[in-house]
Amino acid sequence: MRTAFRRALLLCLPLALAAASAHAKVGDAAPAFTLVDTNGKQHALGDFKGKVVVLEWFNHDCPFVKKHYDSGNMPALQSRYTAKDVIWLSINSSAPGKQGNYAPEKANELSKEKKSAATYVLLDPNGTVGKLYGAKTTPHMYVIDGSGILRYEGAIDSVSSTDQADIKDATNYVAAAVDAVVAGKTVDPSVTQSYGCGVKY
Amino acid sequence: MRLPLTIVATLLVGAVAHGAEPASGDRIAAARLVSERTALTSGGDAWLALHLRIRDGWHVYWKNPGDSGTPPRLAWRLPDGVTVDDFVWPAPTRFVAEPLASFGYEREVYFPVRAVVASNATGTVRLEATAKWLACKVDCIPESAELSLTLPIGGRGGDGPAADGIRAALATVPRAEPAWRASIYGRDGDTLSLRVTMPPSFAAERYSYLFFPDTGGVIEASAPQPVDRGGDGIALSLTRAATRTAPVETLAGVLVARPEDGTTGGVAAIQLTATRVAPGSGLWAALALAFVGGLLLNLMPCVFPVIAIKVMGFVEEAGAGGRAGGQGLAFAAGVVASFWVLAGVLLALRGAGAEIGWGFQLQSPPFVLAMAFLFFVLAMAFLGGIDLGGRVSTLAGGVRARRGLGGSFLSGALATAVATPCTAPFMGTALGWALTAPPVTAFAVFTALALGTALPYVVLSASPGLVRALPRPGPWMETLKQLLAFPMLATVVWLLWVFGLQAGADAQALALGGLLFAALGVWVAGRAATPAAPPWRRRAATVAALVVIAVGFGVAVPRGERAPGPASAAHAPGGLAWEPYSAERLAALRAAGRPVYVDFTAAWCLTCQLNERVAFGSAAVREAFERHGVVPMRADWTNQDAEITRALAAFGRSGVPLNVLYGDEPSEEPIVQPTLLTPAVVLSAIEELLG
Repeated sequence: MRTAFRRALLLCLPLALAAASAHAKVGDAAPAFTLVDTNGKQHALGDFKGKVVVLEWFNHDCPFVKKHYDSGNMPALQSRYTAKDVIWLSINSSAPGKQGNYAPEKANELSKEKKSAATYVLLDPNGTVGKLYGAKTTPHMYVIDGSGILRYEGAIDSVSSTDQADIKDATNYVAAAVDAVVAGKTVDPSVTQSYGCGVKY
Repeated sequence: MRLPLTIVATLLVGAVAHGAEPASGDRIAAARLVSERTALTSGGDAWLALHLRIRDGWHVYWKNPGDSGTPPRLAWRLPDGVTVDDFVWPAPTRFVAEPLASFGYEREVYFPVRAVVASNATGTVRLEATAKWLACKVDCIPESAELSLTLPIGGRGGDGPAADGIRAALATVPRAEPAWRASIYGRDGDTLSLRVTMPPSFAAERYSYLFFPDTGGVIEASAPQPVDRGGDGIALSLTRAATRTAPVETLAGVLVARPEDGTTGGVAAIQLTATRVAPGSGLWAALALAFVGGLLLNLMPCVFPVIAIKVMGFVEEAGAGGRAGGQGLAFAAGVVASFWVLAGVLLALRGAGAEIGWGFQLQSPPFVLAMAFLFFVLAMAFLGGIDLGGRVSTLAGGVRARRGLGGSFLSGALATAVATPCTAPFMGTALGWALTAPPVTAFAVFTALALGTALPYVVLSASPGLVRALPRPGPWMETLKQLLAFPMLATVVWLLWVFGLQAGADAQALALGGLLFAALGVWVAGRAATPAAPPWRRRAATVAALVVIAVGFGVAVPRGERAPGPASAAHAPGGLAWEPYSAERLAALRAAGRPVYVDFTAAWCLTCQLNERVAFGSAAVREAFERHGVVPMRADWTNQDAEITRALAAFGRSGVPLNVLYGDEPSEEPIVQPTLLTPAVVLSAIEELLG
């Protein structure tokens, strides 16, 4: 029994390795991807070489995302950094039929209503890019530097809740990470546990 | 009749929950505050709970929610005289929605909260709280409720309607069990093996297992956890978090064992902290570490007095023109045998459930006292009060050799006994590993430690060059012997200090009185047993001396209740305001983002005392503690303390010293300091974590 079990485990090992090593890791090159935005235009991560890129996983029906949009926190971050030539990509990985999956027109409407100031809103209905980056929650944030290295991965801030009132006392990890990358300093913390709703793959 | 009854019931049970927003029927989860008993007791404590009844298919979250979600929160508004602790978390279950997983509860859950009532509190109290929780199915809905609970204080309360639910929840709250030990095995790749040893009484094969990490970002929440049963426990294969870059050195969490036949009552939830086994892992590394540790033990201050005895042995040996090689081997045998005895007793007591570790015998005041007597009598003998074992250099060769071997064996045993208060570098890791390994392996490690300790003596005594290098015997030997009495007397002073801390000042005074008897005994023996005296007289004098010493010990040995108040080695200079160790306080400080420096120490641990004076006496260290707001916390293990033993085990240690710096990030792993501290070592750790 035990040897059979061990053998089975050994057989599974390469699979697990292959699956795990595909994930994005802080300190490594951010995996390349191409996605279509809500206006039908294609964008590849490589298009933004030389610029700092923020990836934001979102789902407008998730209370954690609502917390950061309805309070104005997320749009403010987006405006602040896109004004500094940072590329902000909001990515929706909700599968068709699942919560938060909307047709491009409806998505544009929602972006307007939520005052999104992202550079592009990208659609990932197959969840390929979400899984490639190991995006677990909405929101789940990533910061990539100008040379394409992933420098931050995790939560938007330090207080896991759906309460807008908690934002003012929270440390915003994304702002700190982008500031550090822009200033050429080390990002600390560079990995945090993201919080939010599960991504609706 | 019906109306008054309802009112009485409401007053007694007092569980009045009212929703602020929609009626609880519209909610995913209906919340109430409940109490185990229908009344509170002034000056006592009580179990209250947040009760959530959750709509089918939905769940709420554990303290670590897994990949998504957030745990429930309760903000209390309490009347004077009542305080409450944080939630305790019942054993969670896992909800997998590939590729993600959540940890939490479905259908119904009680989150028990311990309340403490002041001794002067009376009347009826109304406890209010705002509960907030997130309920998820595929979608997530944050909900909240304003809750209250009115309870009388005093009187004869009985079980409330929620009593069974609260007790059932409390029964699944993870508990720390010393007989359950966990370690991380395997190379640090994408999978790691969590090995858990269990007590033999636990029918491991009848359960299925899931490990829930205390914090996120260490292992993949959704990955399968294949279990390999066998030997004295199980091994779970866990998948390292894909985003994690640092190796997993420690893993804290809850192992939940559920009966495979589906019975709900038999859930066992054990709080575990696993550390990676010694670098390079496995038996050989532990053996090598133990051997080197044993070798270095000879450089620790504990062993100095025994070196005195040993040096005398070699000198006399050389003087008598005999071979010292046999002596060295006898000494080694003494060391090995006594390490085995120690290991045997330690393993047997731990097997019986006692939470003790390396140096446990020194936690017993009678043992410390016996050591003080032994060293005192030896020192007296060295000073010339008596001549133990006759005048070896004048006796015939055969007799001398035999006596000499026995003496060497005994001094080997003595070396072990006094060496235990010191933990040498490398030893802590090896011993910590040994005590979680099967007994045969543990004995192998203890043997390696013993051989390392004995090696220098075996080598010295076997080298003819050393024996030749010694000067001819003469009056200088007597001078040397008397001089060597003083390190032993210093040991006596230290042992009595330890004894005083353990048993109190009165007991210490009695111990000094006992030593007075011992001195008298030595004097009697010395007066009567002159070389010219007939043998019967010498024998009688020896017996009389032993009786007097025994009476002295009988007077001094502490009986019954230990002196009140914890023993504390906190008198050490340094001026740092040490807080006494408490796991709860540590967790609270860490959660609040305060850096904490924990000093695991004991009065009988000489290495610890040295560390304290050298490292914490330094003004630079004090200043750095102040500047970074580091809370100094002292875990005093002078007396037996199960909580501290567990905390040591969490670091894979079974003895002191251990010094640990926790940073200001609650999720950050602490820095474990080396065995021997200097101000520079402490400062660089502070710089690394907080600089």
